[in-house]
Amino acid sequence: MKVLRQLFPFSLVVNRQLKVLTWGDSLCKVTPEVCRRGTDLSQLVRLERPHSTEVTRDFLLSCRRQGQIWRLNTSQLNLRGQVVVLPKERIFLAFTPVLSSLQQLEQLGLDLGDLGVLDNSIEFLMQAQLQEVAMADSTRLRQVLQSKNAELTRQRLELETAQEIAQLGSFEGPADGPYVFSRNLYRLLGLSAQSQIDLSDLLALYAPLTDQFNLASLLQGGTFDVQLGEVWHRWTVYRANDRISGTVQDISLQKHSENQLLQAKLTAERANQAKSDFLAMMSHEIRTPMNGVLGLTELLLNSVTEPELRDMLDLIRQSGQSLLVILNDILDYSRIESGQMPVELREVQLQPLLSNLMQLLSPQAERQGVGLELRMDRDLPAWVRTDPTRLQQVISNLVGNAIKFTHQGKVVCRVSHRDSLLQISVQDTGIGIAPEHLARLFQPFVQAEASTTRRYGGTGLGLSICQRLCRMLGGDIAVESVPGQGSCFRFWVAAPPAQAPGPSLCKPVADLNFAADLRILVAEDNLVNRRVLMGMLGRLGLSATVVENGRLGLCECQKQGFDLMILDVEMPEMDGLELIRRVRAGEGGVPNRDAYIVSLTAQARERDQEGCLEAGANGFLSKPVSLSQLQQALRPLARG
Amino acid sequence: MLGMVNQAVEDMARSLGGESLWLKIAEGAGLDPEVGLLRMESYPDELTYALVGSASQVLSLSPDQVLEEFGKHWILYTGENGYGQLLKGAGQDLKTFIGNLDLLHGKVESLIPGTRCPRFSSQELGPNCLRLIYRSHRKGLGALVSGLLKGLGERFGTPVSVQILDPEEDCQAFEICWEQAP
Ligand code: HEM
Repeated sequence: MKVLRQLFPFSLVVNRQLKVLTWGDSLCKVTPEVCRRGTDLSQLVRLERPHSTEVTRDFLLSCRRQGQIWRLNTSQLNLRGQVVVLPKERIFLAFTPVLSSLQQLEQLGLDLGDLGVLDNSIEFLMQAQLQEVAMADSTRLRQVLQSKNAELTRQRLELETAQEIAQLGSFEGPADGPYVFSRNLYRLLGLSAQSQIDLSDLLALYAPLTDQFNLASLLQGGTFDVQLGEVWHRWTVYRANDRISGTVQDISLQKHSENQLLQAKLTAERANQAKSDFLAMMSHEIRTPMNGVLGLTELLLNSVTEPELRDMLDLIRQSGQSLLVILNDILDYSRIESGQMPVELREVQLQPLLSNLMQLLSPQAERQGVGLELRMDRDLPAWVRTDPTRLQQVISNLVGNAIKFTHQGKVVCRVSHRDSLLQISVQDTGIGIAPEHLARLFQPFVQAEASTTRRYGGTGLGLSICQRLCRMLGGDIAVESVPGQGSCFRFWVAAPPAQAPGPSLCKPVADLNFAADLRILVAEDNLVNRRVLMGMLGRLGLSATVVENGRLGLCECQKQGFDLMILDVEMPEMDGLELIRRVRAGEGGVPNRDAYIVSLTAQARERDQEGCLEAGANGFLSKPVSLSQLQQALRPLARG
Repeated sequence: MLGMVNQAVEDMARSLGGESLWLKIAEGAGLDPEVGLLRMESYPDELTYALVGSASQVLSLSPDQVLEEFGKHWILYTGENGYGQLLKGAGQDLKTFIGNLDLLHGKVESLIPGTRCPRFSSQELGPNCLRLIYRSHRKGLGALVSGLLKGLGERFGTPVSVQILDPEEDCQAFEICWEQAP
């Protein structure tokens, strides 16, 4: 019995008269006042289902097979009941409480332990409570999701707007698909957003595909600029961990402006080339008359004795010479610009080269009242390998400048050599250069200040030529300066130490003698130049037949034989080269075929000189011609 | 462990230092603070230890101190808020409640799949003292039990002293004494 009561802590046992005999503990906890031995069952509980009726023993026995719902008289608690007939006509009423909430348990003053072990109503109630918690959780989660979703939507819209503005579409997915395509990608490619597409459909738009741009190459990743009709698209594809992501951007505008830039660059380059050509052309156009001026001045100086006139002639010569310097600068600059400046590396003996150069420059320094010092390191190698002409050009330019801008004090040229580099610095005590001007110093056509040009003259090309020459010789140039205290230009060029070359074949250009009966033909269209040449030949004790163009020259050849021909390259009707070729071909008579021919070129350009040699000339002279150059060119014809 | 248990760390952090303190601790434990903890979700035990570790760093308390606070907090706030009726249904006084602990966890374990609830048994040591034997699959949560018990004491207005006895192979005993309820 006790076990039964433990299993059903709300149970009752009644006798034949339905008087209470024993009760479960939990039932009594709820209704202690009526829970007494001998209490009428009807005092304690009443029947609710199957229907509320007076409870009799017979009725109880009749509904043995079906459960009933009872209600405690003292409280709201309903009990599920089951009737079991016990020996001695006793009846066991197995009640279990019908709980609708956990709260009810508390209100009844009960706890978990008060319920029967087999009674699982409490599980339902707990379940309900837990479900409530789970529901609350999921509500909260839904809210979080909603707000995250809203955020995502906002971001997507933002991205879409950004893509629209950037004319860009994107796609993403595993390498073997399927891909997600952004809305703007459809728009960009003119597809409707509903259409089901994959990458190969997109590529088909660009058909025919190329070796560079196809599905396989795309999946490797990279950047591809492709054309779709008039429109340029840039595909940029990334591949990482077998996922592909990419963008397609309309770059028509970019392409357009790139094109314009390219065009502009070409135009600028062409203009630059035209400028160089123009400068070169102009300078040799000017050199030709200069040749005349200088040559004739020299001739006059030889014959005029009156001091006043000599002074004026000297001035003419000086002006002409400085004009020539400027012309040479311009010519050098345009040669460097067009990459035609030759570099001739050979063995150079440093000491004489430098001392001679200083000697040449010292008159200028003396005139200016400025000291000029050359300081050579003691361990300078005797011979190095470099281009002596360019080296001299840089030094004399820098020293010349230094003298020009120094009014008192001195110019010091220091020479050292280390690790196959020849380093030369030219320090002056001159006016110096303001820091803001230093940076632009080596740019062409720039002098420290515009006013400098007015005061000191010059083309403003010298330093930029120097810089380019230094770089061509494997070095560079740098400058430091303190305004009012002076400047120091330092440059270095590659000049590995070298062995002295074999004995020189050159003899000094001492007076050469020519046979007075040397038969000479001069063809030159320019009257002044003709005069100059004739004058110079006269000084050498020679005379010549003179013609104005190649055609007349050829006629003259057909009449007589010449030992020497001096032929201008550029002449009307038939130019010098043509004449050389014809003479060499025998058109000017057999004897003339082997005449010694010297061509005269206005441009000091190797290109032209090569042309002359190719045509068959034995030598060449570039204008303006000096007496000694002429003498030198005619050396092979000298006597003794 | 079920989110509802871990949630005590969150409640504790919020009540101590507001949202920012909780964000700091959550971040330290690698939890997405926006989603936070779901009370009916079973989380790996590592998360519990990580939360305790992170809180111990942020609050400069020892892990055991955190666990004890965590336990008290569970009874007084977390449990009260979500499972008030369950707490009430488990007993109206300390002794009854402790007596029902095992029953309660047993029911919880059978109701919520994936949980592995601790086991409890108790022996009376006199009118105001008892010995509680705690068995768990998890290690190092003794201080949590002690905090929970102190929380219960407060709940019933009968402050308790809890003495943790040396742990044994598979169980740990606590001696709990309290003042007689007024
Ligand atoms: C309404 C009251 C309570 C409910 C519904 C409840 C429920 C739970 C649940 C669901 C777990 C997690 C199990 C898992 O996720 O694997 C747990 C763990 C735990 N509970 Fe309770 N609990 C309650 C009260 C208490 C009390 C008063 C104590 C006091 C000693 C306690 C001691 C513990 C301990 C120590 C753990 C940690 C898990 C372990 O040790 O293995 N619980 N409880």
